[in-house]
Amino acid sequence: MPVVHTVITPYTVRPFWLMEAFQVTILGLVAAGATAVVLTRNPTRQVIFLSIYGVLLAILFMAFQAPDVTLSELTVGAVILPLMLLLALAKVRRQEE
Amino acid sequence: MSGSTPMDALLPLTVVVPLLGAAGVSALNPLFGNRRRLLDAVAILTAATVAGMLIIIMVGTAGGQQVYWFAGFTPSHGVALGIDFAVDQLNAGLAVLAALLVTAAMVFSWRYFERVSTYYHALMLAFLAGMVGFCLTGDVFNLFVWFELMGVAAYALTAYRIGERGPIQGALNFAITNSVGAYLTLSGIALIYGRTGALNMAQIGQAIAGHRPDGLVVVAFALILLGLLTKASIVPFHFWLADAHAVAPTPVCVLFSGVMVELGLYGVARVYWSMFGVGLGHRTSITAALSAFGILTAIVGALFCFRQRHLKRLLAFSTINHAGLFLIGVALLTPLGLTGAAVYVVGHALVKAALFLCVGIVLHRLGSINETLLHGQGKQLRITGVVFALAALGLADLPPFALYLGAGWIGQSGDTRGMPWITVVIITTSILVGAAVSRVAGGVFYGIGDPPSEDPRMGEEASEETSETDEAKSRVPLSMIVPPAVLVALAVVVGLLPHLGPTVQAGAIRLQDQGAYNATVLAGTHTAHPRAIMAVEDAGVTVTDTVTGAGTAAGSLVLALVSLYWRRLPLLRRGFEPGTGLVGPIRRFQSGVVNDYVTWMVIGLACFGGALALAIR
Amino acid sequence: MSVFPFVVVAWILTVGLYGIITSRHLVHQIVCLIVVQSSTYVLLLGVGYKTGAVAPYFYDIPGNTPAVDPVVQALALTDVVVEAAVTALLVAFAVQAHKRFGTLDPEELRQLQG
Repeated sequence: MPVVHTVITPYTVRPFWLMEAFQVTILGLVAAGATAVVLTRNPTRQVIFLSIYGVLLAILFMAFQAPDVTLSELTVGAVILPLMLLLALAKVRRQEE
Repeated sequence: MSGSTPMDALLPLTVVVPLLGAAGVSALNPLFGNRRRLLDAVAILTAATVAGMLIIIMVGTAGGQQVYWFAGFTPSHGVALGIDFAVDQLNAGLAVLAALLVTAAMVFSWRYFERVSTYYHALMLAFLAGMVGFCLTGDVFNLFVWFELMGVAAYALTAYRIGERGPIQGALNFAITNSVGAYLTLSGIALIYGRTGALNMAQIGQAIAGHRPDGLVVVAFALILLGLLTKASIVPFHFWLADAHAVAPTPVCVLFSGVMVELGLYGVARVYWSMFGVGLGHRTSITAALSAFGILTAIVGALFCFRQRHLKRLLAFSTINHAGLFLIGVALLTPLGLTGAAVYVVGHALVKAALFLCVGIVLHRLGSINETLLHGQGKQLRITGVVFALAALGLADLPPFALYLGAGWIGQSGDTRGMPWITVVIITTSILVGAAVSRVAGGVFYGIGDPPSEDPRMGEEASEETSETDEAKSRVPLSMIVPPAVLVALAVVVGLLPHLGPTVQAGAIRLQDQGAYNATVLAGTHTAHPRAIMAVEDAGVTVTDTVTGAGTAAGSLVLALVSLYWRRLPLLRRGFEPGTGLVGPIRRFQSGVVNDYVTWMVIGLACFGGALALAIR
Repeated sequence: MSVFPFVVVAWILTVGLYGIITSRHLVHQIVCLIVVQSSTYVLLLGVGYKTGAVAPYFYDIPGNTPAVDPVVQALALTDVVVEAAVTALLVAFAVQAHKRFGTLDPEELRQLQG
């Protein structure tokens, strides 16, 4: 049986139950966020919710000890995709005028 | 196993070359400028090179499985960390088919498009890379990645005529349904990874083989299959296919019908035989569940096909019918069933590609793909008419086109497994589909009988098609008529190949021997004689197959003539035409609204999951 | 805790599919597709997570420290890239659809039927 060292990194929260409580909370928030994104029928407002949802997912990934997925989710999910969708909506609005 | 043989160098090149080609033609776009022919030549040459490499690889697999580990990450102690290509006769053959069809489609495009955007060539080559990678990969996550590459290229190609309404709608429906399927497949992959800690198919198979299948494994199996069945256009996941075929450029339809749909079914066979086969057990129940979907698909496809007046949709529904028949062949889980499906796929791809290319010529010359409007208009297209008629007969299982062998072997294997009604399904649906296509051949190219009744909505849709190509041309260029003629000839050649049955069956047995696959991939030990999981049946050309095939073709012709001369037949009620009763249901189901399609996918998932759960208790 | 992430995954998936089915706006529908895909990230990372384990970087920590599975993180990264590509394509389609049809309601796109 190898000795298991307990290591504190910037991503570990001790004690473990605290981490678990944090994970459960953020999982619940993510579930609620997804529901909010889907139920928002106004596209512009929905894109803002999507951005918030992206941040929630990023925090969740942090809690799951996946820092580089966190970074990519922050850039892609919380910034790039919402921007792309906003641009598309702006273009559609211009077409309507 | 180590990277020493020339074969090992060739394997990765089959995806690297088309990907580099795609990147090259996009990056060097300014260089090509107006020299469109140079671009065409580069694309054709790339596709032909890939086909050549794959043929060499296919010939080399006759001796057994070839495994290539990227970057030399060979497995140690049976644990695969790297990503591999595992090639056997059947998946190499399918990859060859894909490369040949891409080559044929690119040659056809030479004169078909008056002007063509550079990204057309890049997308076709990326599509080819996706298909080849999907065939050859031995890693289930990479299966998903190639699936998505193939998908994205296909969505973009569907929307090639971006300035029109139909292509946008078709591409949206295609992209959304297939993306949902792909994500569910990915969920299944994640679940199976959670259970086994592996992504290599052989290692996953080994890990789940030792235990009773539990709920998690069954759910993962159902989810992985869902995306593949969507790609394979199995009812009720099939709705996107007709929309995509109706609007995609004709050379692209060749690839959709010819190989992309069949790749979905190959995926089903690969995932089953390399990962779940031994672990799941319950072969009889799995056969029952999968073949039920196959039979439903075959019937729905045939009925909808017979009703169509829009030539591309008609051919699309014929593809759905055949996809159902292929699924039955795969679902039998016997060597002969898989052999039949493989030969059927090849024959169907060649014949269907020729039919689509002929429709492309009709569109090019006559500016329409509406059967009613075109009635008798194609008389001056003599060679096209002959090729189309021959291909139609081939599609109706006429010997010696390769299709009758596939149909016969699937039916025979069904008999052996106590499912004689499979033969009935094959014959009746093939007669319906053959009749629909023969009706087009007789009506459009020879002006036989009366034009079928007009369908106002369809006229509107089909009229938009004209802009796919330029103004009507005075003659058919050689580069457009030679590819379909060669493809039809190839279908005959394949049907006449000596030892076709036993050779393909050897490949089928190898694909189905999970033990041999595991040993080759994980330990590098080669199994010279793979063991057949189910009883091996004789894959010979029997008199029964020949007579049945000829009878099916004859039945198709009779039904085609009856529907062409329907209004002149005595004793029959006026105002009623065969198939018109189906207009309502078709309109209701094939609504063109993606929301409905996804609803059907969810219903289908529930049914499929339920059937599997019942099967594997 | 062990089951909860998977319950959340199932919930996100269901909600996303519900959104796609009931959507009357193409951009909304695409966002719902993003939500469906986000369920796969949570699933992947949930599958690879071990209680008490640290991020899989072995730069300044002893080699036998329990770490979460790095493979699923690589998969999730690939997945994010795939998502970006597919979404970009779909958004382009949606803009074109509005240009040609004058509407973004999928039920109003009535070019293809039967």
